[in-house]
Amino acid sequence: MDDILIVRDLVKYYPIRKGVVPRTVGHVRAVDHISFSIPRGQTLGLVGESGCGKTTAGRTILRLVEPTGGQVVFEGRDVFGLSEAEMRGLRRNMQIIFQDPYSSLNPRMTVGSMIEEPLLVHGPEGGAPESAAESPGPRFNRKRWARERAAELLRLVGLSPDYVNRYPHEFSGGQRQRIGIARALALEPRFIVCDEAVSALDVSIQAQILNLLRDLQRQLDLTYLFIAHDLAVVKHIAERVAVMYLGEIVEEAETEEIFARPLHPYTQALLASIPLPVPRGGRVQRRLEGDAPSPIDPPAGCRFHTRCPLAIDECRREKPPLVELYPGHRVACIRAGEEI
Amino acid sequence: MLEIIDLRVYFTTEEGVLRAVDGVSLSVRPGETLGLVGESGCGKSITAFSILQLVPTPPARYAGGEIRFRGENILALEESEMRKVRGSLISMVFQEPMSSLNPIIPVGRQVAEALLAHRKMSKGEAREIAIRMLRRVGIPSPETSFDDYPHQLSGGMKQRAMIAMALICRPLLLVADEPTTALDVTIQAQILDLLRELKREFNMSVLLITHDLGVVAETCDSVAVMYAGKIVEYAPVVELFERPRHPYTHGLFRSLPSLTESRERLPVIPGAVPSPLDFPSGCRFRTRCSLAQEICEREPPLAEVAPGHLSACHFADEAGEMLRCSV
Repeated sequence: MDDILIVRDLVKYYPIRKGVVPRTVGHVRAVDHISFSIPRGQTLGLVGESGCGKTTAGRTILRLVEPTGGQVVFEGRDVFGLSEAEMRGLRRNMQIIFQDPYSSLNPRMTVGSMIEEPLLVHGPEGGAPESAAESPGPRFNRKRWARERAAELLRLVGLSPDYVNRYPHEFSGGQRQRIGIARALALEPRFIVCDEAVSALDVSIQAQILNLLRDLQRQLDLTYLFIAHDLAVVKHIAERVAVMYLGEIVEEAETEEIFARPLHPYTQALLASIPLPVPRGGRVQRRLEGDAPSPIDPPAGCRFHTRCPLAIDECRREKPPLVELYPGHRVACIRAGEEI
Repeated sequence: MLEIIDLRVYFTTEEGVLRAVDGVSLSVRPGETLGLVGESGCGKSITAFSILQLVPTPPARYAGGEIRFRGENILALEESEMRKVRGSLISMVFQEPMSSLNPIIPVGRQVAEALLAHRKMSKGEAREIAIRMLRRVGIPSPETSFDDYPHQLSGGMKQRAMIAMALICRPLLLVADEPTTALDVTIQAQILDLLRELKREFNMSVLLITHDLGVVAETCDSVAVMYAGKIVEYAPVVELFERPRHPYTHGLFRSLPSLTESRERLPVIPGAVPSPLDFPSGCRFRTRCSLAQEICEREPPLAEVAPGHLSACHFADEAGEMLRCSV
């Protein structure tokens, strides 16, 4: 299969520095050797609770934070081996949509100028095929081109092109998220990291944005890394799901498969914890006890053993490898498949 | 236990009068958990904050209505009298524990503080009871955690400490405003279990404000759905989930992504919530409603459409027949 993105052994540690003359006294192991790949045109859902490293993973892949180790291959190119200039070129193709559209939009810029900015910086030169059609002739007006393209992008995300002269505060949360999407799409990227892109939205607006993301994916052949904590949302949008716990991937499979047959006790517990909109279920569920430990000094052996109802001595001693137990279904647990 | 009658809370702003809560009536019976649900800006939190008069006036003003607690209108109470109610008879927990925990006072002392304020007892006695309460809400080794500062606790533990603080005087009513929204799902499950147990143990009533229909289904006995400052539907929980009788409630259910069913697209409620400065006349949902007719320009009353089931819709019967996706 044509994998647009391959992540191998990705590592991101943040040093903890202390003292009058600061010295590194330890590391936050935010992302600790994760590997996955995403086929072109598909969505991989990356799920987990706060602090599991999913957001850091997304940012490291885009080199918004520098990696500690590992490799990311995007369309055959080694992302971490690129120079800054080469990286700028690649940014056209890899974009990100953030959770809080308000904090990611400049309050003093009009919507139009915000969408035009990347267009003016990168220009139509060497761009994707669509803009090449109107490539710079002798009388090419760069500003007018950007303006027209901004209006077109607003239409694409379901907003009126007349909004170009308005400011972010004039919009509702859902509309702002549409603006964030329009800006991310400006350079016709092929891969987008959606970092909790619908988490801050009300249900009815969330549904609108999810539909929009899916329509755009079909229309523009986009590939998404969809980072979220809401499993129902991920189930709706992703073809595959990877579950993270304390910096590691503990289970990965096709969406239908992982929801029908979760093999890792953590995945099972996550699913059991979701309150379902069905009253009188009377479900007495197995709850996980305690909090997730700190990623500064993660437990030895399996990192989940401190909260795992199935944990045995061996789990405390040895780290279980991520193995393919069924075709396309990887899990890191020696008691995989047993029910909590 | 608690009865809110035609409550109106208006905000005066430069752009005009903002009718955040506009004629809300509801009641919480003894031992009942009532869920108040709706999307951001619908007025559910302002309604909740009004019960303890925690809405700053100005800019807000209580433009009408009564809040009756055990028969007495507490909206008319003086601030000094209100202080005897807060934390003693009626308590509140919030979404963000740091908004109610003082960062520079040890957690245990904050839990004991309400006892010293409302009950006659020595510091030693208060400490004993506070430690017992901390243990009950699941804080490990409470004798030592008593002296911990809030920042030393995890998010889930802070939420537990706040619950201990709210319940230390054994209130009759707990108002919980999105108590688990900021928590991870495994921690949310723990806190919801805890609240359910404590409610039974202390024989409390609970008013739970939330946007999460899953949380409502798992914890509430009855539900009131708010839209644009008004209650649009009010019913026992099973009744509401099985047969919603307002097109807005219906739309909310349908737009939820499902864990058990695959759909290519989610059915959406078109448009966005209208601005509270500029609500449509008549039914406030009519601009987004697929059932809307001319009659909807007249405001529909919140009327009983089935035993115990209220709906503010001229087409409540039709709404009940709308096809519902399973969740």
